[in-house]
Amino acid sequence: MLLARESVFRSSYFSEFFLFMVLFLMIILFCSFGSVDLFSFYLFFEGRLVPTLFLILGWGYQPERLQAGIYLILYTLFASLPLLVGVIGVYNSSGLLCFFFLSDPCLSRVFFYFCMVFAFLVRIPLFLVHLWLPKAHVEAPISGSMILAGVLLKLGGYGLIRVMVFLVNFSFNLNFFWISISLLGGFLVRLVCLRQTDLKSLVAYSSVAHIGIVVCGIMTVNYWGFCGSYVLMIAHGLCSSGLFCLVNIVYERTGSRSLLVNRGLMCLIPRMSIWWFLLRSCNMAAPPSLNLLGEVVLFRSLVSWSWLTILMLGGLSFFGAAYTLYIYSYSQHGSFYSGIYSCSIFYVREFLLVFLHWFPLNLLILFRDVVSFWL
Amino acid sequence: MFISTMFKAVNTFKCRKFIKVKFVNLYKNACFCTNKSEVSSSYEPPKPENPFKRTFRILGNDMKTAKNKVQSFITKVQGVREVTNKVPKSPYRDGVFPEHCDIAIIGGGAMGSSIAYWLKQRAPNAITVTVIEKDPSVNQNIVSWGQYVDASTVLSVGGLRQQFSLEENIRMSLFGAEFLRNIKQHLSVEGHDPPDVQFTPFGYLCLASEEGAQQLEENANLQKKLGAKNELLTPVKLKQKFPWINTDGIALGCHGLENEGWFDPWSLLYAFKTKALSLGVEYVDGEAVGFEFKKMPDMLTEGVEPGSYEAVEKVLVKTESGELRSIKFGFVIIAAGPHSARVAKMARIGTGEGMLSIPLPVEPRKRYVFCINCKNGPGLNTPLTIDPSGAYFRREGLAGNYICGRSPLPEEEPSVDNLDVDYDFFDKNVWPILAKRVPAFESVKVKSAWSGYYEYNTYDENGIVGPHPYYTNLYIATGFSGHGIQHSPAVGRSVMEMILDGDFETIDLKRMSFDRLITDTPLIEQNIF
Repeated sequence: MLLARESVFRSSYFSEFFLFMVLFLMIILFCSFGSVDLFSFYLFFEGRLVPTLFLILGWGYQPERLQAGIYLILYTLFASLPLLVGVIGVYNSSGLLCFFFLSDPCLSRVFFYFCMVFAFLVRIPLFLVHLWLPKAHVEAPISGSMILAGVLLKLGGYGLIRVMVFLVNFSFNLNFFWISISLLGGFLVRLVCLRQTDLKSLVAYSSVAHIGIVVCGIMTVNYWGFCGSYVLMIAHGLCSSGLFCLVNIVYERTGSRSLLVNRGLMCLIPRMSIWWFLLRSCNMAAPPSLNLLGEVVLFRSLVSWSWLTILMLGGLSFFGAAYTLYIYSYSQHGSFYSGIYSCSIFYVREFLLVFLHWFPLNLLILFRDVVSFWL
Repeated sequence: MFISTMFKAVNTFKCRKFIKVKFVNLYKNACFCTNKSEVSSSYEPPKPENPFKRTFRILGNDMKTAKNKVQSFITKVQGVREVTNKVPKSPYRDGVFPEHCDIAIIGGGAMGSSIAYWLKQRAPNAITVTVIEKDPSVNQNIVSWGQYVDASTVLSVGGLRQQFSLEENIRMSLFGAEFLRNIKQHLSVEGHDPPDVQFTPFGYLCLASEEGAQQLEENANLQKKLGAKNELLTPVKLKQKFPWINTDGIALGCHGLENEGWFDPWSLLYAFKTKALSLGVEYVDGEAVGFEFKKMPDMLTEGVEPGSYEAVEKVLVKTESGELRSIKFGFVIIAAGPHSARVAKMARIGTGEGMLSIPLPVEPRKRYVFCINCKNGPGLNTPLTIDPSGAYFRREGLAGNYICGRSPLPEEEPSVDNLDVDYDFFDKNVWPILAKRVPAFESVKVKSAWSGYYEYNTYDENGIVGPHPYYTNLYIATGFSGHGIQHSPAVGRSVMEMILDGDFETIDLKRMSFDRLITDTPLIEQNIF
């Protein structure tokens, strides 16, 4: 992501601050994933908001247009305030906050369940509370988008997995609500993807679509569900982040993010077409990608939870492939009228960037047990 | 569990750390793509804002807008009529200067507005179009400087004819006529009166002497083949049809029967602009003063040394308050009329090497238009008559007024410093010819006159439409040398097709591209006046 932000260096647009922000964010994320305590997790969970905000608003394109800042703050901050209430409730009822010892159900009220779960659902994002994601992505600079898609969303999923363990007795009764919203929402968001014309917002909505199934998997509280969502989270992090890279590469060449204007890219940047194809096929879970492993496992867990989900899952897969092929075909095929005398060869830096995104995606499926059964 | 999270964290972070360690340092020292963006003119690009300050400013603005929205909602609910608007109304669509757009059009006359309209009507929400016009008209509530004071569009005589010799010109005029006939369907905006260009369909009458008769006949046949309706008239028939004419020296005349006439170009421009504004085009009142370039060493272009390619990235705009802002675009279209050569020079067209060494050969040429009054002049069905010498006249209104003019000979070209009218030109060059051709014009009175600039293409007097071969994101739509207004709908549509469809779908204008200047294949029109 630092490589992708080469244009920042080029214009010397406060590049030291940028580097500092990115490093700061990475340290916070590292700590949040590595925290053993529920409270320290909450601290870093909230803490990552500050550098993200600076990254998006300080270096973004035109954040005033969509009020991305407000959405980001309001949505995530106010949704995670109840999380603090939940954490304190857990501490009250069980006297400790360390993850390892919190495996028994220890909360006695449904209210606490909603508190704990809601924050992660907004973060992850669930269908009805996902509006902040496209706005933030469209206005964010490329590294901001990459971190956002790659890691920050997974914070929500990670938190859910952690928290589900001791919320089990409520989840059996109430999780069907989240699963049905996710499934239906995933289907609708895929339809919305077909209508998008801004490349970045298209990838953002496809993020939401993918994470829908992840949420379902976690909510089924199966072992297979947990494994599948874990795998899919890793895969999605790589895939979405890689797609944002590609969109940025196109943006740096053509100066525009509109799908209608970026056409015939196979003529303009021939060497990039293979990466578009590989990452897009990973996105729609074509073999042999890690996405496929995740989706197969998740489908199995969902169908075992209830056979009625087959209907939605079928629609989900179909439209997922539909919008993926739509973007690929529209952007790569066709002709680019004013570029008949020129074409671009790739930078090695960009090549490396995209290669490093794709490499684990298609190769980790060979190490299935390492990746998924570590839980 | 902990180890799994560690693994996941490490998995995602290891790659980035690796990249950072290995390549960022290398990059800072040795990478050949560390370079600054250059500016083409003596203007300094505006300095970027400090990100921290920017963050707080944006958050502050967002809070204010949110607060205003909430307040206005509350007052609405309470039934209080809100009189004052606390936030000052900004001239820009989103309240901020548009610093990014997908397509920037330099020049907001008929061509620029037409291109903006066609682009936006095809994709209302998918692309952002910004038009930079230095001399705008009154914009709803905001009075700005000038009212298209010296734009060629509004000073044009507004003729529409198919009597050309080039197929492209004929086709474009045919489409122009069809567009104007259906203008109410194309350009109506809800809440405004439907547009009315007052198209007067009395046709053109081109007269040819003995030398030009053969050419006129060939042209007429080509036009008929492409769908125009015209009638070739011998001197006898001419005298029958138009009794006021004096057929001395005339061998043949060609009268356009349908789809030819004249209209009000100001109404057309206004209709285009209103419709474009309603579709979401942003008109920026400012003058383009330079471009910012971006070195792209990865681009391979024909005839350019690899690694030396520089693309245009941003256009520097001087707003009416004197401020210098930049607009980043995906495509830029130069439709600046007579001043296109100056804009092209800012993009190094003409001052560079290789393909950039050929300048855009469009320059302003002043043309006079005189309004005369004659008591017993030609009647109601008079077409726009063009004498073989180039002098023309047409009826204006119903009170015996006529509009006339003539292109001066190359040695008599008036200076283009201002738009002052030289009335001697009428007495010496225009009136004798008209008086000879139309005996009734022996006694005329000059009521008024004005002048305007042709965007004169000194190479072959025909428009240049298409991308510049060097730049992948720069289009040119200018140089129409006096017959641009009738081609503006067709050119707008063609530019839209080039950008959004990747090729010409309706009228093939490949021959009119900039390439012909490099390969030295002029498109000479045998019929220009």
